[in-house]
Amino acid sequence: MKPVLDEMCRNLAEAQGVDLSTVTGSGSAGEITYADVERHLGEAVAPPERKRATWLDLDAMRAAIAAAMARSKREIPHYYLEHQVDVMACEQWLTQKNATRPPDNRLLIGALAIKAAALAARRFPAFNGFYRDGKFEPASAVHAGVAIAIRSGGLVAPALHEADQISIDELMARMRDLVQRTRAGRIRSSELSDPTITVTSLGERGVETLYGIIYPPQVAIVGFGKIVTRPWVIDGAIGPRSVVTVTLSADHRVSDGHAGSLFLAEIGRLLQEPDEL
Amino acid sequence: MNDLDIRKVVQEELNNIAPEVDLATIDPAGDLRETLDIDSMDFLNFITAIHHRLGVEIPELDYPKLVTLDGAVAYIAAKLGSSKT
Repeated sequence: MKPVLDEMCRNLAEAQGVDLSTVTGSGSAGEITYADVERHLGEAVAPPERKRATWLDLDAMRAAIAAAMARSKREIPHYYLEHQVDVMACEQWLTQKNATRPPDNRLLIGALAIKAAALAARRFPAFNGFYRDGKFEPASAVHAGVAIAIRSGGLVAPALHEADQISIDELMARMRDLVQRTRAGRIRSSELSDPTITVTSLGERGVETLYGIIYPPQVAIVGFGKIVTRPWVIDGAIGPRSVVTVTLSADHRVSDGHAGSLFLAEIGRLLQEPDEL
Repeated sequence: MNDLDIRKVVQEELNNIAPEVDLATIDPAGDLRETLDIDSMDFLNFITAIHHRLGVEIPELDYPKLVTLDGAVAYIAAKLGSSKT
């Protein structure tokens, strides 16, 4: 085994599951330094363009997730908020829209969720941007990172560019394209570094609530749980409604719970008027 | 096109979505979304593919009829049968 500079470096390698025999040492006698291990992990996080065809390497992806999430938990003081939102208006709107459309043009509720989160992010800039070198840099555009699960394990969140600006039809088409390309391993590395905020959704199965971990250097992640039917009070009467739990995990270095709750409430409000999305 | 041909097309399209699953071994009456771990986007892609390959109109309201392998085959067979007359 190649010599390792110090214990901290060995711990990092161990924690991230890095095989030290694959790391090039840059120390004066060829020892492996902490930075070498970080660089090695960084390569897994952002694979170079030439590796595009083969980058859907699940081990590399797991290492990238491990590196990013460990860094997030180490550096970002998260706070968490949740909000239950009646999405019956969205469901009815979608049923009506999709009734007359061929499958190619049908919409999914996930598209409405991303659009609502993106519009809210534009109105609340403290949740859209990057925290770098000790300060927050708000982003001028909203590029929503769409968390996409890879079959047989793995997760990436490539950018849906200017998600707040495009029509819902355009957004849906791009989301379909993004999912397809991601699962085929045809995502550009720039698409992985562009997102200014992440949106993640559990889909129709599983559980009601998820608390996301922020993907650094972003400062917020919005999570949508499974839609469930719940008794709900509307105009003084109880009735069954479709309800989704929307969560926000945000960076306390950049924003506070007060702003976070207004941001989350705005997403809920936007989902009441799907026609405006 | 008989039921066997339809089943073959359905299996091929499901296989495109879940390549690691051996469709010969799944319960044909089981919920595909559970068995194949497919989400709403996968299911929409499945419906889209069937629509393109077989020319079958599948309104969203009918989705529940296609959530099992047997159900999907029966549904498409019925649609193809009725469109011939």
